[in-house]
Amino acid sequence: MRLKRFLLYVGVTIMAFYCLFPIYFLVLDSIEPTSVSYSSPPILYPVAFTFSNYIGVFENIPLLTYIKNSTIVSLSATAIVVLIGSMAAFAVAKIKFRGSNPFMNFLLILGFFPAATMIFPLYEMFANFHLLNNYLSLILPYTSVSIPLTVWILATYFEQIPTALYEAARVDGMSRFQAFYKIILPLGIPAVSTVAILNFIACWNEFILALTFMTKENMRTITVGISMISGRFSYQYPWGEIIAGALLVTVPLVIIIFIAQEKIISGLTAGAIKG
Amino acid sequence: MPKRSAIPNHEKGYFRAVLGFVAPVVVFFTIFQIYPLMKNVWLSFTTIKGGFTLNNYYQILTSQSFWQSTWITVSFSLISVSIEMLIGFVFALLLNEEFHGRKALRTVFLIPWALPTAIMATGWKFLLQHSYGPFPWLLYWLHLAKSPPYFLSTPNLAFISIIMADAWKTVPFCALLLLAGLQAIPKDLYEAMQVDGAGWFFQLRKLTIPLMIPAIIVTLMFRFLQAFGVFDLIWVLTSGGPGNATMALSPFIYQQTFNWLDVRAGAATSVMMAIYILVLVVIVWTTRSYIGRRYAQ
Repeated sequence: MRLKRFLLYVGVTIMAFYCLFPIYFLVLDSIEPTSVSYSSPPILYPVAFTFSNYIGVFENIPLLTYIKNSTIVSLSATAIVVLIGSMAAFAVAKIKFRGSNPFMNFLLILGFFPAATMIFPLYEMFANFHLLNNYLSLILPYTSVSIPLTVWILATYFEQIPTALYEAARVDGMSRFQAFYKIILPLGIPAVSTVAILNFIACWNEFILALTFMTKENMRTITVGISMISGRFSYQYPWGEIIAGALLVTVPLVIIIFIAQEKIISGLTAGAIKG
Repeated sequence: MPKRSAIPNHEKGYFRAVLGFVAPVVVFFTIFQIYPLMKNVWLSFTTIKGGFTLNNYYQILTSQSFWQSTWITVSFSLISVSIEMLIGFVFALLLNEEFHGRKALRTVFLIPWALPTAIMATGWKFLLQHSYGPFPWLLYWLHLAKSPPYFLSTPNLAFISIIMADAWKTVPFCALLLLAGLQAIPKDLYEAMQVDGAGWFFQLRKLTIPLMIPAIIVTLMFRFLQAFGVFDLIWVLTSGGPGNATMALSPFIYQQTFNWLDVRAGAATSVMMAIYILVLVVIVWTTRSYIGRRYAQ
């Protein structure tokens, strides 16, 4: 029994180490002055400390603009998809219209196609409507891409809300839409917030569409902004600043995780248990 | 899934109501998912002047680079997903035990998952740098390599690098999904087996794994299809290089379309990729119900 406990804690240490060791090196690099971080071979423990990378990243890279763009795009797409997705989920779970099963499977399968398989027609479409370098060119496709996950999670949750509540509301003379936003939606708030968090993170992290549709520096989102910095410096990568920026833009996500970890895990696993 | 509601379907305003609730989603989906896919099908079968042609398919199906990226995509997905499921399962078994700091560790597990892939790839690009990146030097100091390896400029090592970075990001994610499956297994089943004198490995083989099959299959399916479309990681970490050693299908389509401006070849490649995915989905769909039946009893 003792040995088993010991082995368990060895395993736990390995797991924590597995998740955190790359992050340790990144943090280390971001707080070192250039003279130390560019030494070869590298020094793998802290020897000097500076904040200059964290200051430099705001001076040399329009980090705040990137953050603003990402926030606008992610929040808008999340708001739209939660609204229209919850309506569709309500129709599937409570009106139970004919063809709702094929509809759900159709959403699921189309959700599997990677963005690369539809990127050029979208690019052409936005170019024709002069929407490139416009927030709409990201908000609209992000909304669409988020639909399958949203409708699936919400429909599963709405199903569990007793149909008697819906029927009682209808019998009492509420319209379907009233029953939706006065009865079902308030009861579904836990699932709605889970979906909102998952979609926000997904939009915040999206790369290929943002890379293609936002070609102007001041319209870039953080993922593209940070990962494309290295391309602008031909002689020497400002690694310290890049890593500092990467860590800074991750902070909001880590905060979300700390606040909402139960919700995130329940959302992620909703599909896994249902099968 | 849905069962008949007590409110009859032919009730007044049924069609209008369904239309009103579902239409926004359908409109978005049609414009931003279905139309682009159809447009790519159309592009792949036409010439610049608009006539019908099979040349685009002839061009890519006879090119070595298309089959090479197919091979890279398939091997990347297979290898990385198997590694992730294997390590993820071990991690999930450990996380299922009681220990101090279990909740904190679960939070830590979410960090790699929540990191944007593009940013994680930027970080790994630094970690794998030859002269001042820590990773090659660690391998050297631990005597696992004769000299610090050039990860991103050697074809095989570049391929290993993307698998390594992908595994780092998704092993914890798989572990959390599988953990949910483990926690859904009733505890008294284990107690019954212990009473009968079954050992740890016997319980794992005869109880845990059979009951985990549905969760494993769903996780596998999602992960495989996700890995199949890999773009961010490769584009940032290796840009498909060195040479074409890590050019999976998504970056290949992007390169054809936006770097070589060969839109129709890109469309044909997209259609081929869509076909691969449909085949995968059909395989998963049929085997899932088969395995579900087999383990239902």
